[in-house]
Amino acid sequence: MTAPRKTAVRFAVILVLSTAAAITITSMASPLAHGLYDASLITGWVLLILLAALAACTWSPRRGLSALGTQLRWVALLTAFTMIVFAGHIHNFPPLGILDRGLASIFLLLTASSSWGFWLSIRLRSHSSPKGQTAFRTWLLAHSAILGVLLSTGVIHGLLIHCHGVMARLLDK
Amino acid sequence: MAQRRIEISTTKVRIASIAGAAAGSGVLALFLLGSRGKSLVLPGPLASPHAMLEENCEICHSSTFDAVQHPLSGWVTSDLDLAQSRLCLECHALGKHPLTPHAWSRDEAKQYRSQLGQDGQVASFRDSAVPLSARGHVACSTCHREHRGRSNELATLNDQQCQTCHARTLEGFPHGHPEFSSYPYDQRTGIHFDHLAHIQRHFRSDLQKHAPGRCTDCHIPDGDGKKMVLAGFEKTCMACHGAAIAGTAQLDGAGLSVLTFPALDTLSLEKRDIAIGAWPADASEVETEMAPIASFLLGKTEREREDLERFSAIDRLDLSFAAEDDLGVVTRVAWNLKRLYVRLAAEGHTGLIGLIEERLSRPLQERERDDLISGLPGELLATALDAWAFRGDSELSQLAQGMPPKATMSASTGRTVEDPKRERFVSQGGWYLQHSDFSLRYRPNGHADPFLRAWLDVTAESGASEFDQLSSATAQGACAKCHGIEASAGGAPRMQWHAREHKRDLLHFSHRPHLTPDEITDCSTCHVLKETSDDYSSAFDQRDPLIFSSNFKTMATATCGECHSPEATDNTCMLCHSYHVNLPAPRVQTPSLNELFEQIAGN
Repeated sequence: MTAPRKTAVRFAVILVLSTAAAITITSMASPLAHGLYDASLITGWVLLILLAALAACTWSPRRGLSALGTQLRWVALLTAFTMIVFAGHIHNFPPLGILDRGLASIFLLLTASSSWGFWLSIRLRSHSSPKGQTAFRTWLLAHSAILGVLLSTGVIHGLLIHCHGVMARLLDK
Repeated sequence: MAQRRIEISTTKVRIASIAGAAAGSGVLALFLLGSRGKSLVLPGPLASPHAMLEENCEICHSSTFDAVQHPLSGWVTSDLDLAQSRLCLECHALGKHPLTPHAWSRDEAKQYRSQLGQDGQVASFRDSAVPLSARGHVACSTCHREHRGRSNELATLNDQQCQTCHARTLEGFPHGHPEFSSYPYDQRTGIHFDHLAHIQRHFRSDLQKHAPGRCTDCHIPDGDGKKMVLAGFEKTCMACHGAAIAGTAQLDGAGLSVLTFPALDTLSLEKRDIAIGAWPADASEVETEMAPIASFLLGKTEREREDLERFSAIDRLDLSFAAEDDLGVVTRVAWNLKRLYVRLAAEGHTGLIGLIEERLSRPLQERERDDLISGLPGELLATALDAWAFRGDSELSQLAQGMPPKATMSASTGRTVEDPKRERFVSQGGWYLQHSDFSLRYRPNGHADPFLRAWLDVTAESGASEFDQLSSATAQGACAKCHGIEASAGGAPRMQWHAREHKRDLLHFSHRPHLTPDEITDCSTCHVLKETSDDYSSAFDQRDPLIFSSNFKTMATATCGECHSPEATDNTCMLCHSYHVNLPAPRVQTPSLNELFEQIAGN
């Protein structure tokens, strides 16, 4: 098996394992999740920190392909961990509102984008070509934009939840 | 080597991120400011009972100073949750302590905890796990989570939610549920019915023909099948107990003596120059007691009640050697009785109602007035007073002028031969005169007679000693022979007019699903009679319903577990237990639109 393929398999394994971990952890934590305490507020702010870390990771300049591989591995790991926290975050409150569903969709889009970017980076490292570089650059910009949208709407979502009493007054006017 | 490098503009990446953030927040802000902003931020549809509130966030969400002051409410403080819970209480009435765990007061919580601890039941609580505020309050939203769709059942809790606080892990009846200590016979029934005595003795005597064939001849499901109620007096008890209630076996008449002239030794009073005016003469030949209702009406003050108590203890048929004090008591009571009759004769029903209200210190309800008077004919009272040569008006004028008339004998009992006829005439209940003891009587109209019931209730409410007379097992109507008497919170007695008035705080049980399964052949699957039970009846000699020994054996959880196993059928905590105590069901009160608008304006 070639090195890029190995990496792709590893990434696939990470994704599968993290999904399984997310499901296992949230179901194991069901007494807490179904209990009287609500972990959504805390996990929400943890998610914000993780997304900020993801953004910081994406922003860091990496010119060497090997450094890019390391960067993308970090992105993949952070994305996988973020997915676990996200699963815990929505476990108690499955998204039913428009904004919440939109946020969940953007989050899934970000995960899919991460997978796509990782695949692009693998291809780039095996057959570096100007076309591949352009595709990677385009992906990176798009991914950064998605991350930006998720961060900003996530913060607004958090503030709305915390200040929903005030929002209720403003929106009722 | 050039192929191993890739040129990426970090600035472009950052600009893309910032542009994305700006676009995201911008689009969101645009929608929020638009007409559909509310539907955008709505975290999910409200449950169907709240669906009509969806357009008015402020009805449920507090925007008080707390909410603004603590933008991180819910994370670092629960003030906002509690502020919102108070808005829930605008519609949901949950008793005096709506936000404490189980809506208990501190004292009730202590009492229950020690009780459960003693029984070795759900004694261990995860105190640290209970999400309480500093004041010991739990927000409504701790258990009831809204915005989860129309079909979301807000009132349904799962076992894990209960076991957040209750440490003992219960998997169901067969595994871990504490044994019942006395359930369901932990308190006295409202009706004094000794099952064992009836089954073992009465139903085997010559009354056997009236004996029920099975439990459901007497116990039937109520409208929603939740409770088993009695089939009614006529179907269950009347065949044997009807005559006792009708009073046909009463020695002094079937009717209750309401107004009378108690027996006095008028000859001695006359000789000793006691001034009480004319008094029905032949009353001294029958030992007429003061009628309990007349006594109740006379005892407005403490002094009057003391006099009445002493009056009943004096040997009033021989006052020749009575002490001066006793004669003083007799004199005062006699004049008070005359004043009472003068007032009643003059004011009729209004006077009687006024006297009762004075004694109770509260106005009577319309229904109470009707029942307490039960159509007392004014003409009958006038006839009685005429027949007994009552001259209260003139005598009271003389008394007022300081010249009270001396004791004299007034009426005779010549018309007593007609007494049985008068009593029979009102065989279906009503008022009549009994001249043999100068009494105006009321004959009860069978079971649940409103007059007897109303008088038992008012005398009980005032804590009057007359209640004991009216509720004695030999009193007309014999109400207390079967209906239990309990002490109310203030200590005053209270008649138990229904088979069961006690409600279990934490439990709801419905008989309906238990009546049909093939496994349950009859009631004795769960309700097993003891072989002997000598203490059952003695429990009704006192007034604490919790001091009780049932005819039945305490149920075993294993019996429940035969059907309620995790594999077989529903086995959750909420199947049998309630969270909100002291309430049959959380009552939803409907505030007017104006109240809701005022509430919004107040926020």
